[in-house]
Amino acid sequence: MIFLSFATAFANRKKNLTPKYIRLFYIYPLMILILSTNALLVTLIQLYSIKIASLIEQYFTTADFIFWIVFFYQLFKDSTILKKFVFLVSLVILVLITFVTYHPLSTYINLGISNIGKCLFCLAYFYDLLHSVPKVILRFEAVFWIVLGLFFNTAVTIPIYLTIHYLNINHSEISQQIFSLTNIAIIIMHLLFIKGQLCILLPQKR
Amino acid sequence: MHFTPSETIVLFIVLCSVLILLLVFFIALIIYRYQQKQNAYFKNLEEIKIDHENILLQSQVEMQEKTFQNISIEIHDNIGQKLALAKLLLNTLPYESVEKLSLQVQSSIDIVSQVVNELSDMGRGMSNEIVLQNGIIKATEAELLQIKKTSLYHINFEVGGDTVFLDVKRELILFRVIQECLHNIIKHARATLIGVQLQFHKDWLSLEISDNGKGFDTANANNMGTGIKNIKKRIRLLNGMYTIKSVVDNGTTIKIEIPFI
Repeated sequence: MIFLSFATAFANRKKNLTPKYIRLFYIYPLMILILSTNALLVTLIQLYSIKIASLIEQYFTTADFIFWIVFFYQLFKDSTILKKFVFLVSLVILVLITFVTYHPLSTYINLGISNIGKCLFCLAYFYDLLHSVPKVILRFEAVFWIVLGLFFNTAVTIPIYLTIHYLNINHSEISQQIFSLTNIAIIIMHLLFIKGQLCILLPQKR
Repeated sequence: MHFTPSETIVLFIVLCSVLILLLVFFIALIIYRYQQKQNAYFKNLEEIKIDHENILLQSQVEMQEKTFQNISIEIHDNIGQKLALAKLLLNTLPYESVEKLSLQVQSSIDIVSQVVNELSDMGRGMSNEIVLQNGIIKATEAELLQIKKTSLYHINFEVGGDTVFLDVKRELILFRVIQECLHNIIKHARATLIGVQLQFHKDWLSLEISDNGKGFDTANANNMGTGIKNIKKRIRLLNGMYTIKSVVDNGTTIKIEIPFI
């Protein structure tokens, strides 16, 4: 699914009429592909230690969040207030991530905190959507599907990432099942990304 | 409170279901609200379009009415008279003198030729075709030429900047504004001098129509007749701006600025 998401986004990289944040969107699925490979290398063939894998994951969490900062900053380039909002939220989240990185449970907390930031960006997009001139037809709007996918993923995974440590200790019998929900959320997110990219790749008659 | 493992799983499923349902409801609500807003927006656009079409149609009808009125006046006061004179000359041909006969026939031919020319001029000035085919500048020139022929006015027409052809419908509405202004001058101003300046800028055009007539008090709303109201309505339709400056006994100037798009 991630590879398909990457392939559709990569196919759109040279579409001249699309905004830069869509043309460069393939970077995100590429990062997720690298992260997934990292997880596979550790769990299946134990190529390097979990500590190194977790460190790689933390760096990629920050890089992933920076990607979304740039994405939303470009998306809100016509709105000064929303740009300020993105800047402030990014600042707070990046400071928090930096501090949490030194915490022993940092991996999931980092993911949870950065997802809070991404979720706030999505809400800002929906607010902007409802308060701007409704010119676009949503089902043909790539950005709408991308933000919808991100919103769904972040909203579902925030409570999981922030409570997984607690669940591991107190309810270890269901913690694995709960964590598997994040995989479903990721699949749905990439499905919606693919739908968004297809809006550009296969333009339909409006 | 302590839950058994099976209770924990049930609780987890219920909580997840509620969370996902809430999420789906929130997304559906956003889409529904947006769709509602979009429907209202498109409805409003449609209304503006219909309004625009109505005003355009009204402008065309008014132009036709004015043209018919001009034709009627022209036929009654000018062409009819000239043809009657030609008929009289032909009825009273002096057959006894070849020299007088040829002079009178020549006079009749001259009168008929004049009538043919005038009919041709009238044909050119008729309907919207002059705007549609030749653009706003030629149409204004033709309109001013008709006024000049009365010998009651000294006309000053200037065009500046690089000419830009507007959308035909916009040109038609603008031409109707010019006609309305000129009609007001002829009907009310008692002027002897009419100035029309058309200046093309980068993104807009400015139009200035001035006269040296009796002017009016712009502060008094009663002085704003239907003509001025129509002008304002049409300028708004073209997303333009206007200013009317008038001093009693010292003429009136109307300045209009229209964006190209």
